Amino acid sequence: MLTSVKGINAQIKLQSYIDIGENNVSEGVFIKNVYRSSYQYQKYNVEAGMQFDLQSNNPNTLTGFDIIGSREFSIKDFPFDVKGFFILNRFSDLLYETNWGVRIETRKLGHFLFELGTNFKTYTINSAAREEYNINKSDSKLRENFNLMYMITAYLKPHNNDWNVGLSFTNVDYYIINQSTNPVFNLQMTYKLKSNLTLYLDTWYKQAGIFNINANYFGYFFRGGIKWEI
Amino acid sequence: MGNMKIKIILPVLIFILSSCDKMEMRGFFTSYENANNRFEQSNEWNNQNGHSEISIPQRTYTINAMGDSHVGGTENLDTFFKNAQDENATAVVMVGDITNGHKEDYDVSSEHLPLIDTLIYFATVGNHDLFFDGWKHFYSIFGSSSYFFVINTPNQSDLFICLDTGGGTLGNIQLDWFKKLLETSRNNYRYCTVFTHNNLFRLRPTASTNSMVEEIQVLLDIFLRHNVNMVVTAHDHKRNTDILGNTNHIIMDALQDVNDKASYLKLSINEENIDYSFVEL
Repeated sequence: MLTSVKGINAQIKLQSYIDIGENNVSEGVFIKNVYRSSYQYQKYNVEAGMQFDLQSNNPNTLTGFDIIGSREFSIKDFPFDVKGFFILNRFSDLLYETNWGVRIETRKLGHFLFELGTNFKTYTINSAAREEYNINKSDSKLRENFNLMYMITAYLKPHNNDWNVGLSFTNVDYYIINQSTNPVFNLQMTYKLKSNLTLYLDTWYKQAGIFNINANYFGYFFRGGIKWEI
Repeated sequence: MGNMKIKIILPVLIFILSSCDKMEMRGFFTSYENANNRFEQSNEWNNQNGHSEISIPQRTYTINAMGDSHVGGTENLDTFFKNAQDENATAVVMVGDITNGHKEDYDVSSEHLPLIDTLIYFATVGNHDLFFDGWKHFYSIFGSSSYFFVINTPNQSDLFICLDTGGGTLGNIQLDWFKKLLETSRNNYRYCTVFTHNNLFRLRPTASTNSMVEEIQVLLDIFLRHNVNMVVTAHDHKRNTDILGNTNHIIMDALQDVNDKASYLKLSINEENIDYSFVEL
């Protein structure tokens, strides 16, 4: 199977990580576990993931699902990926949030990653809650206006180095998209154990209202994970 | 060339890092006190003063609300108070950004507040009220920014909760207080209305900041679980409304004098529901 996969210039990647942290609304420490896989065929890539809450104040265990389809492009010597995505965030047993959108990513510069995109967010009351709280279906969804998504990451070393340290400034994570005026910071470290096996550790810091209103501490978490290219 | 760069960069830096009249760059990076500090002071005030309970003889009544008066100017603020007095509003609520945070702004606001025996008013803090170390002035004039009040009609009682989101977050202590208040008391009241400065949703293209999405998610769960009927916010300066579940979400126009479309919100509370309308100035 692997031979045939490589024979047609395809690649499978698996990834798993654990988030441990706390914030103003978590009621103590939360622990989340995510499994992701992607399949690349030539310039096309499909990626999907699932998030499980091992410890949190969310009564759901499966709390997130996402799928991303992307294609590599190059205009003159400027390479970039265009990604379409859908995210489901089951943050409550009464409501859930969905996001869909498009973003463009480039690693053209050796020490930087840039992402820019837009998302459309909808909050929905699930059918069980609609029935329990006697809610009309027409009042069960709230759709937000489009939102700007961005990620700027500066790396100490070039992208293909065996180890690296980076600092991100972004409003996006796998299952969370904040309003563009709510950036978070992410200090990240990666280390290639083998050519196809990478360990990583992220530190995320969240400050509500930073650069915009009146900055107050919101929360932090650590992310430890592993990526395996089959 | 290097000299030229310095000549260009230095004035820009000075401009950015210095405070303009309405914004304080310091507040963009750190706050004079955090949300928990403010809530602790508010709660201390609540413990000393108790909550307001207003009993009225009629079954229907009105409450007027406004946000973003940004004093300096007081023309619209004066009209807001006068209309409420003329129309016998049961109370008015000021939903943050009453001032730009300067002591002089608070002094002017204070001079224009009606006598409490002619009009009952409530206030909660907004982000601009906190700039320039404004919380201490807010606290000395208005007291608590996180509290509840009750209006009793002959046959029903309604609950009104004011929350402090001036720092972009409730903070964990205030959130806990809010949840416990609803868990223990919500069923004793007919309607429940929440007033807070920061709008929760991005209902139009705007640069005004709402809370972190994790906090919005928790609040939506609470509003649904405890049948919060209305959430009245400001901050975005332009009115918007939407419904999610049994909760009406309202964002008010800015009341400030320089706003061509300034308005305030009139809530008409009756036996069937809470009606609302915007009164343009």
